[in-house]
Amino acid sequence: MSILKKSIIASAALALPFAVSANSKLEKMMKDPGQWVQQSGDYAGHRYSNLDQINKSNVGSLKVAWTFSTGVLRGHEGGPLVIGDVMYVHTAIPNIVYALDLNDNQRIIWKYNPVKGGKYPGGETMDRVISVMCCDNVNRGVNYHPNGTIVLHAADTSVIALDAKTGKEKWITTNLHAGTGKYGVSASTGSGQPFIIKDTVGVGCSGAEFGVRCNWTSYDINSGKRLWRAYSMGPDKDMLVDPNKTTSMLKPIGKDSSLKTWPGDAWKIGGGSIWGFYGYDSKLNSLYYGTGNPSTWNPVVRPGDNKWSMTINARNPDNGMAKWLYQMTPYDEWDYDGVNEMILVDMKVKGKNRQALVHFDRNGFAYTMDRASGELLVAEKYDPAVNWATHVDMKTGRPQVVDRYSTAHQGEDVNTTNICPAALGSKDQQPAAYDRLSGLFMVPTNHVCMDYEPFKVDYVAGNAYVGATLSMYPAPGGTHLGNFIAWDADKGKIVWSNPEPFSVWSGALATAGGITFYGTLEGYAKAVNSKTGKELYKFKTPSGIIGNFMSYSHKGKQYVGILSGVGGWAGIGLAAGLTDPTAGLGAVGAYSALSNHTALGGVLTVFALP
Amino acid sequence: MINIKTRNISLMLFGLVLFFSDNSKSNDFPTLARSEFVFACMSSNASNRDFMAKCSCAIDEISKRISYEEYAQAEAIARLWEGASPREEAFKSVGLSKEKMDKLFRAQAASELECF
Repeated sequence: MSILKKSIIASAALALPFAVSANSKLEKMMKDPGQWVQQSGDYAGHRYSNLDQINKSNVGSLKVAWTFSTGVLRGHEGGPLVIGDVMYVHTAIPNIVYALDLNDNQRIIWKYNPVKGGKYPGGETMDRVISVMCCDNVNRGVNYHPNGTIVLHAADTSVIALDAKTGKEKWITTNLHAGTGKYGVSASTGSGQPFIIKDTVGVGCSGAEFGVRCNWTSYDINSGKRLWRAYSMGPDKDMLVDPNKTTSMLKPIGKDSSLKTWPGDAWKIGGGSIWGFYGYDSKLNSLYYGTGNPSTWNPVVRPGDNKWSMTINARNPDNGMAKWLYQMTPYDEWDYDGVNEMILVDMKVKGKNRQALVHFDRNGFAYTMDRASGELLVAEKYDPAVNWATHVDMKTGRPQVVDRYSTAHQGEDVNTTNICPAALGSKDQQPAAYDRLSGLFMVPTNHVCMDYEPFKVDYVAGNAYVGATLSMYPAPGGTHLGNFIAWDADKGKIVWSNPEPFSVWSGALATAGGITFYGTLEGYAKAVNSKTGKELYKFKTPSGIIGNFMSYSHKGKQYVGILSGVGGWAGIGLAAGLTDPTAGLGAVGAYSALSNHTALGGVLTVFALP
Repeated sequence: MINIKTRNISLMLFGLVLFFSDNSKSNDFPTLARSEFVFACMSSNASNRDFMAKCSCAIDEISKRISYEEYAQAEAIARLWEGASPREEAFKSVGLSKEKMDKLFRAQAASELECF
């Protein structure tokens, strides 16, 4: 683990008195609709902009104001930040960060590339890191601390603090190991956003497909010093749980709550990765995140609930102690990671005012919880196709699994068919938005089912540890693979639903203009009426959209920005011949000609009214 | 002989062309999409006047045979086929994708015969 400290070195003791003010400063900035200072817009994860210059009556005349090519191929998730007059844009691997001057035609103020001489700061080569990335070369964006720091969570798990003004490294610490090596800690990767709370930055980890034991780790923002680490599974002291005070379904979890639910020491390679979008409530002083699937995908080898994989965590960000836990999918048999975004909304649930947490899980159920107590309030299917469980028992919180779709019940080397949703879930990481005007949740979804055949696999440190063969297809009765829906989190019902030919893999943005933006895999940026779902605008960006919409204003004008970028050389693929899937990639000679072509990779498209 | 990447398709899909039915004549491609195709087609063949003509002809022929919506969907699938992540694997195995791609292949093959 390498630790570089290039500037600002402050002791934790010195930093402490400023903790509250730094936090409130960031929260104050989040309330300014002119800026976009956090990946989700705010700590509550609303992805809502108070700007209404672009609204349902004029969005039809929206135009591209400017574009910026990131120069990097493959999937671009997350989105840019706007702090004052500067925009910060990140890319897929190698995880370049650009600072753009909004006052000067988006001139590049600085560019930072963590990969030097082919290697990430942790010492691993970029090729090695790419080889252990589970799901494309994505990164879900940088975040900002008001002491003038931009934090990047690079693919090799390095946490990198950059001077927001100059792009110079303040400190770097490599959180985990992306290389081969130690049992249970090898082949971790970083793709989730670094999450700023007070004077700390917290990161999760990816790599459940490689038998890691994932964790949330918190660092001091000024020094990069590690403050605490909470594992997703294992002994109580590793997980930072109190057997008597930490609750689940309002009851204390008791001693060894995790160890008892794994055979032998399988928890040591238990997965439980954390890479989605998180929430923080400063009044309750609670951090909310979800943990992913248990390793391996073959459930037969790990009988038990596999706690606390697939779990919503509420933790004290100061010391990491868990307040409450709720496991959505005990004993996962389908790869329904519980990592999706946590949306914090104060709302009426069943007639009672609640500090709610709303979560659209991969498993196809949308959960409304009391975020203070961890009480389960609503758990309903947000895609009617969901069939692996009939319902969630509200007393125990457990899904009632249907044997026909249980890959463990059907057994090893048996192909369990027609399971809905598929492993990518009724929704993956693509975050939903909360429309404060209508009180509805705007949710990008998948409408895909699967066949799933688990098989025996031996764990080899640093190698893929999957153990299942999957095939996926559209849900029965249709040919479309996605829906964009509006959800009522009190009633647990879909209000409207727009079918889409492909999974909707972009993050939504709702605005005070009564409209919601989302993107599609064909590359369309769309705006719909938040109340009715009626499409009001669409524009074809140069590539597929899996990024998240954001909005800001500059010199009195509202802008909406979105990153596009999926896969490789689409244009050349189509033109050079698709019968041979490598034909596009094989056209090496064309690379130089295409290197200046904007459709080549990630592109930020920024819209405004004319 | 210039290495014409697109020619492979016409040879491999010649049989399919015989069954090709020209039932979609929407011809609704934006100029930008046509330009992009021509640019990429020239990049993978040759950047000269001759290929500007051939590639322009090819996209015009394709656009006579499939709608822009179908083309945009095929383009999305093509992008996903180039990746290997679980998400992308999912689309590779979706039967729907293959049907949509086959329609594009047929249109491409027809454009080969007309233009190259």
